Amino acid sequence: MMSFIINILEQGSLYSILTLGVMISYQILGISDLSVDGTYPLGAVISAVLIKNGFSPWISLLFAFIGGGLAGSVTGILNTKLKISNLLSGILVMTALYSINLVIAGGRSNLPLLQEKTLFDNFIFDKIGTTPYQKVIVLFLIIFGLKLVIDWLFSTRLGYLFKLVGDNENLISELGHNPETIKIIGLAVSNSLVALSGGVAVSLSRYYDISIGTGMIILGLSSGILGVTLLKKSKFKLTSMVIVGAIIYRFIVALAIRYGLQPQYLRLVTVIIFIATLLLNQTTKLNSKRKVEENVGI
Amino acid sequence: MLEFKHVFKTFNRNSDFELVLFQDLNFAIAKDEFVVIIGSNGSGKSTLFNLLGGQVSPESGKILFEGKDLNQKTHHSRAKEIGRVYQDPLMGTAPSLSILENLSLAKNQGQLLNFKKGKLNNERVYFKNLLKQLDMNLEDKLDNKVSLLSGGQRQAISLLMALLKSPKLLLLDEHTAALDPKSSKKIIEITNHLLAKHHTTTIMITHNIQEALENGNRLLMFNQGEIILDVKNQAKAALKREDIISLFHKYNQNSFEIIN
Repeated sequence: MMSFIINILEQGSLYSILTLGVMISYQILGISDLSVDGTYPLGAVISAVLIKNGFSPWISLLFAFIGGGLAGSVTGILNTKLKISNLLSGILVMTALYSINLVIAGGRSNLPLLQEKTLFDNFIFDKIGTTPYQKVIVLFLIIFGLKLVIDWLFSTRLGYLFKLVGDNENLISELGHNPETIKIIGLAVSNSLVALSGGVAVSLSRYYDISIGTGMIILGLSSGILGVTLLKKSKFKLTSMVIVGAIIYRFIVALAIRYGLQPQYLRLVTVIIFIATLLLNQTTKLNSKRKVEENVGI
Repeated sequence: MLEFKHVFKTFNRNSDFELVLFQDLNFAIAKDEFVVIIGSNGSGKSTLFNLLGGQVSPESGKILFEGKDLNQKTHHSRAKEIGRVYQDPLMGTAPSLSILENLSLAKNQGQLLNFKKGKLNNERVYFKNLLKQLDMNLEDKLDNKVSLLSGGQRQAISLLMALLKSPKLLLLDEHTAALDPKSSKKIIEITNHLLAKHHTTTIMITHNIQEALENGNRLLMFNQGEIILDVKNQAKAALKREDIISLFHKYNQNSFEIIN
């Protein structure tokens, strides 16, 4: 039972990083960015290759972060400067990244980590002794740090401008900023978090496979929207909602598998949960809209 | 401060729908003027603003703003000096942000990462007083999302935001046209009150003859891309509703269009 919960917390924390990234593009910028399915394995392969070549796993995460940011800016540039729709820009980058990921891995489609030290083999644990919780502890620290940084970012003027991308792009220009630049930076931030999550995944599973990115956009969206739907009435910040959502989502999936769901149905279940959450969200949105209409007078 | 020099603008060039709008448009606006522009649909009022805003560029000719050619500048780089309130109340504000956040974004045009949320609370009192003078009961709703406000209230906030960045030129693009008569009267009142305080050079487009007569110290009337009337100060004050209507009919003898 304990290992069941630990497993949920590990997987949930891992995917909450991904979800933070996905929700920046979906919820804040108002863009469905499909490049995520390519940037997640990009982060993973960068981290795996660097760790295999003797780099510190933490340094490998930094490079995964930068790589994701570069890929995200390409999506942004295709979308804004070349006027390709954001859906298509994402698909183009995702497809191109498939080749790039193969190239980075030296033509191989998977890389196992054998004796190499990962994020979770820390000297601190060598001293105080290993515990079954050590992965969860490290993951929680990473998430907490990221949450602080993202919350700070969204309290700056830049953070507000990100919100305007989804809200009122014309106003960004009126406020004297280039909306295209803001969009590109936003997509870069979003994808660097996604790639970071891919990098963490490699340390967690000690294995990289080129197909790990498939369906990541849906996984991130369902986790994020689930969190926002459940905690909408709370005073939580978006980042906290998203993190809790990712863990609850993982819990649902783990329960389903424990009670007999065949793993081959997993993606199908993901989509069903996603649609259910969207529907739930729509009905509550309609209700609150009605409420607003009742309250508005001049 | 603003000068149009030999400006030409044609839409859909070399197609069946070619529309020559401005043919050698020339006029100048001095600092501190409050110019009202009136004209029927298709007379070039909105294109004039889009030329100024950078959404449309002229084929030839120059638009000089304080002696510098505007043509080289993009929409957002002009926006630092030129404020604009749109006809659609949704264009000037961010619906998912609070009134306080909207106002603060407009006021603090500094560096991207310098502006912190903590600053908002320091400015609370300042913005409260600012909203009080609107007399729309907005001063107690600082933390309400703008999406909850009425069109008139949003337009009042848009106006404040456009002025908060201290523009050198303010463009009012039929900013009362989408409102009910009561709200639009209120917005005109607020406009005059704020302009009396800020002394910003202003151009206001309107469809409404009454509004054109009662406001501003100069009036330009446009018809099919041409200026057919340009009066200032006393001459403008002496202008009557009938003068404008008869001038309109003189140029539009075959038109059934009615302007109010």
